[in-house]
Amino acid sequence: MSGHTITEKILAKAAGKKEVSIGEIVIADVDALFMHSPGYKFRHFENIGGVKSVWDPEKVVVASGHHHFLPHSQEVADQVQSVRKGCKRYGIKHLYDMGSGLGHYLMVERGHVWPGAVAVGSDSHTTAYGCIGALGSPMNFETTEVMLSGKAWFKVPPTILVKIEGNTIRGVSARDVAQHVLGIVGADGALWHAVEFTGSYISRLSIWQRMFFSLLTTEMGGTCGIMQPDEVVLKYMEGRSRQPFEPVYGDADASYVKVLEIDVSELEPQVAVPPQPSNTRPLADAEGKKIDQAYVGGCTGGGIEDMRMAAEVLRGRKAHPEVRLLIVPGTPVVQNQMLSEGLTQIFADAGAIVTPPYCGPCQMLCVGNISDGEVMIGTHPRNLPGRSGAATEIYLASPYTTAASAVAGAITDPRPYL
Amino acid sequence: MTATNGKAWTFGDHVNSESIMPSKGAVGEVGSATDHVLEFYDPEFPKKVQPGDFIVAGRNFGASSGRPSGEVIKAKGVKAIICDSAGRVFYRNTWNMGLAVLQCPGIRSKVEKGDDLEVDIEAGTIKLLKTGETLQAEETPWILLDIYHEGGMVGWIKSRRKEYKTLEQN
Repeated sequence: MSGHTITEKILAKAAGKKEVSIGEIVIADVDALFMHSPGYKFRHFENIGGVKSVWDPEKVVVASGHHHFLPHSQEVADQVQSVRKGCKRYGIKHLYDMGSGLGHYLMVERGHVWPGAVAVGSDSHTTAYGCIGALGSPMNFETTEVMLSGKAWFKVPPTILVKIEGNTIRGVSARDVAQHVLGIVGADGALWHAVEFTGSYISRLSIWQRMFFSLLTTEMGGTCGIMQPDEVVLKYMEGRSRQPFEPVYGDADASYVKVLEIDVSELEPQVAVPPQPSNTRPLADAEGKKIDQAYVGGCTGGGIEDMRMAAEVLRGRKAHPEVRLLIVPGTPVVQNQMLSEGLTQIFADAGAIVTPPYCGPCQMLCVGNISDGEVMIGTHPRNLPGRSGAATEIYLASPYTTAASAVAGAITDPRPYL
Repeated sequence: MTATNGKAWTFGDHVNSESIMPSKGAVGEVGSATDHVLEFYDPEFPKKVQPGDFIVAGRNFGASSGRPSGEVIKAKGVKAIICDSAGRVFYRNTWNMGLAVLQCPGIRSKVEKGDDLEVDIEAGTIKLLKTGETLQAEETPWILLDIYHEGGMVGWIKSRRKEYKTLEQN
């Protein structure tokens, strides 16, 4: 009898079972529920009738500030107001309102998830929390039921192991490596699977750079993306987690349906070309493409390290006059750190528009929308048709590449700028 | 449940949820999205789809964002979506909306736009009326069939009201 993966062990524990088998339907206790737009779930409550409260006021987190740093229209102002009322009415304690920032960063930064936790969310990028050894999985519509029961069902996924070794060359970041892995696995390569990331490359990254890998598992179709919690994670969680926890680790003899071994020593900068996040190409294939907007931010580029990378390129340089350069910090913590490190000044001098914290123009819900025929490059996770306009072209790349392209006015290799 | 007949509308691989329900207005609001549903791939679809029709698609239908795009398809009266495979969240969500999604690897290559199908959602069978061939979809998780029997998640919760401490019992 072989052992079990971290995913199987977290699910077994949460379902109150000794062990689980792949393909089995299990009902797990949920430790955290993330919601960015609960409006229509509150309307489900009205249809159900007689809803007294959510199952646990501590465990439901609403981040109204995820999509909007301020309401940009009366319609949105009305929606956020109704979310405030709904949170109050149903006893939801944790509401991150306008200006609070991007929900996935907040869930980790504010200790709503921890190693071994089961977290589900209304946002498809809820896989993010795997970076700290939590099982994060998107549920969306079904979060209405989770709010009432505190439980969620899973089909126990087989696990694909991705081992990443080597040191990247200068100018290639974790965003490039994560993009590379996404290209190898493909848009449905992990459908109904867990993806577990390991290797010396991963262990050298901060939790925020690790998050790109767990978060982008959604773009592979995965149920969750996860990593074994190590010292870096445990140290970060000290005094942060909202409840005491016991980390869960996979067994050494766990079995995997597939093992991918990737060496990143010679990896060149990468880019995703339209219309799929998984359409990964060497950056050279897209070089010279004229751009109208560049955007550093989003849930795969709104951390302090991403801001430092962008600033490294932009220091003493100016964005091209025909390019709108947007810098979008993930949370107020990142925003303040940018200020204290002098990065905000570098961005201002470069002619960038620095917005308050939120998730950015990834899906055109707040500001920074682009028009038909326009081209944008950004660090965010998605470039699909209909997300940021139907007739737009979106390229996804690292903060280095995005910043260098903003200066050049066209997609550009960042290495000469470093 | 008995089988129902309808015409097929065909789509390719990796049709994403944003192209089913484009980003406009608020996340999760059906609104005018029904006028534009799937027009990126087939401009005729939102104008000509009839209640009772089926969608037949390739791999990973409904991939990406978890916006409730199935509701827009349901609002058009589509009876079921049959695909080689579906995005995980789309698959779960859409059954929860009371609209069936059958994963039947290989279906797409056998169906052309306008073909007549006879589909038994419970049994997971799809009969291609032009050839008489019957295909068997993958087994649907029992919990989704339970939810579907109650017309979707809201009905399922109401039918099990006693199990929720968070609901008033009267």
